[in-house]
Amino acid sequence: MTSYKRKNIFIIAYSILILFSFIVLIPFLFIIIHSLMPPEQIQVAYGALGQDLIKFQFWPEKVSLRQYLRVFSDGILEWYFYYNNTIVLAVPILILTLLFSVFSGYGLSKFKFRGKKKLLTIYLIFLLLPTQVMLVPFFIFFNKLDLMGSRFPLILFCTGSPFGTFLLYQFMKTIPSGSIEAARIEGANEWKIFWKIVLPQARPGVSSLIILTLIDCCSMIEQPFMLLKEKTQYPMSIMLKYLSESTIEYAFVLSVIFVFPLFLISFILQEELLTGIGFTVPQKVKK
Amino acid sequence: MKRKCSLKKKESWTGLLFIFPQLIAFLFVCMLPIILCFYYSITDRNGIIIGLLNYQELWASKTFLLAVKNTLYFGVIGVVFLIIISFILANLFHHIILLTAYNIKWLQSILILPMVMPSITAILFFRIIFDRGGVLNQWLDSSALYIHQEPYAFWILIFIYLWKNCGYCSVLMISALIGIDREQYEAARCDGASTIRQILHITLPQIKSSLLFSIIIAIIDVFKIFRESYLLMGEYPHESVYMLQNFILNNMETLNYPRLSAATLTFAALLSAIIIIFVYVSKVLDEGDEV
Repeated sequence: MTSYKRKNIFIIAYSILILFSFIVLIPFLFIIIHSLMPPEQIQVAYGALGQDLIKFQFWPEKVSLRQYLRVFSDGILEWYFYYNNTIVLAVPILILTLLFSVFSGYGLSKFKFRGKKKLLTIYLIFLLLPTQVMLVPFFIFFNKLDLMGSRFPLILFCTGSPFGTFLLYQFMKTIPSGSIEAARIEGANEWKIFWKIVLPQARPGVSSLIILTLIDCCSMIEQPFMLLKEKTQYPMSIMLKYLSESTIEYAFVLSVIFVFPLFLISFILQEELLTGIGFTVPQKVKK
Repeated sequence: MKRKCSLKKKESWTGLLFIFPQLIAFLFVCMLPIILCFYYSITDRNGIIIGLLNYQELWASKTFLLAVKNTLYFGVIGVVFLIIISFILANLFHHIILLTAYNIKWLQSILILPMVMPSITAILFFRIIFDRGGVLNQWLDSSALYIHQEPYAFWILIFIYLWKNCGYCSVLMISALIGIDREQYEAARCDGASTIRQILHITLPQIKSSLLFSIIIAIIDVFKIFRESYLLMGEYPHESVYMLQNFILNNMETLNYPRLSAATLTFAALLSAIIIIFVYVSKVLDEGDEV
């Protein structure tokens, strides 16, 4: 192939990708730009959303940070209350999911025992079942046991899903067994092998699990609706749902505030997230 | 010989110990509820065992059949589109990496951004675009194209599904593509193989396992897209996007446990059958065990 033709292909491929990533980015830009509009402008533009024609506006008439100020200093709509609820849910879910999945991912990927393939198949089936479908038996079961009423069922429901296990199982399979066996021959006990050898190598997998779990926590809607009895325990995602239907002026600002920590975390863990996603694929380990 | 045996036994016990905590949680969240559900599904509302009558009733109900049909239809179309588009994207990336030996991480990071965004914030944007009085309708000067209209509701949902998941799937595939030996392409090119033949005979067989894994992820995401549908179209969407989850949620309101349980179990059984065939035919869980 001539270098001229190569250059052409390169330019075409690159521009298609950039165009595509721009399409992906539009909603983000949209929400960030709209969070800078003064509340009155948004009220005029989108107040009729769902009933009548809206008056779409792309640029703010005048960039204002007044709404941010109001949200932070006046604590309008008591959003920090719901934010706190989200954190109270996310922290235990994250810690428990990590602990459970790291252990069982290691156990499944590096040990042989009977019935392993059957267990993995069962995990896979439950992994693929939609959350809403799993929610029904869980709700009935916990209602029967009379355990509803606190946050505990919701936290348990989110940690019991085998997704993390499966992800880390796929990832840990790519860790060469040689180093583990070497350590075992040297006389290291299983606990030490796990902490010193397996876990450091599994870092990308663990970081992508952290992000995926956090996202799941932040975007759940139906689970809190069904499993939380008190409205005061509702997380931010539900509050935003109502907000986008009633007071849309502040929905954009609160969305940005809500999404910002997630973006920050995924930006920090960006490199590891990409390798983490890539290597969860079953691949042949090169020898 | 005996010593080797006991070593093996010890190893399997350590392995079991490691998976134990997750297994307990799994038992409480998934297995026991499903068993209870089975009991409910063969009783009537007063707790008398009536056999498979609930299932019969379920399969006779039109809404259930509609929900099954829609879910299958959406699943097939969505997964096929998603896999094809992410395969093309991944190949473009791979092409650039081959030509310049430079892995464009920043573009990949942008592509997986929709995954990092909670559904509710993205829906804020999509509502403004796709509403009846929304941006798209005003540009096209019509009032037909919106979320409660026959063909559009379905395709809008497919669009959101693709927007959300293309990046993740293509990043999955890129790392598999990078693993392929570059010399194989050069050899093929020397023998005069066209690009399509290169893809068919070199690329596809070698990324088979990662393709299967992306199909699994794609199926998971088909069910996850219900959240967007729920936020965008409410509890009673248009007929063409009435999914199984809608059916279950609508029945949840009436708290009709027997019917709900029967629906859940039917759905689980259907899916399990597909997965078990998939696992044993594709051997996706076997690979790596030999390593």
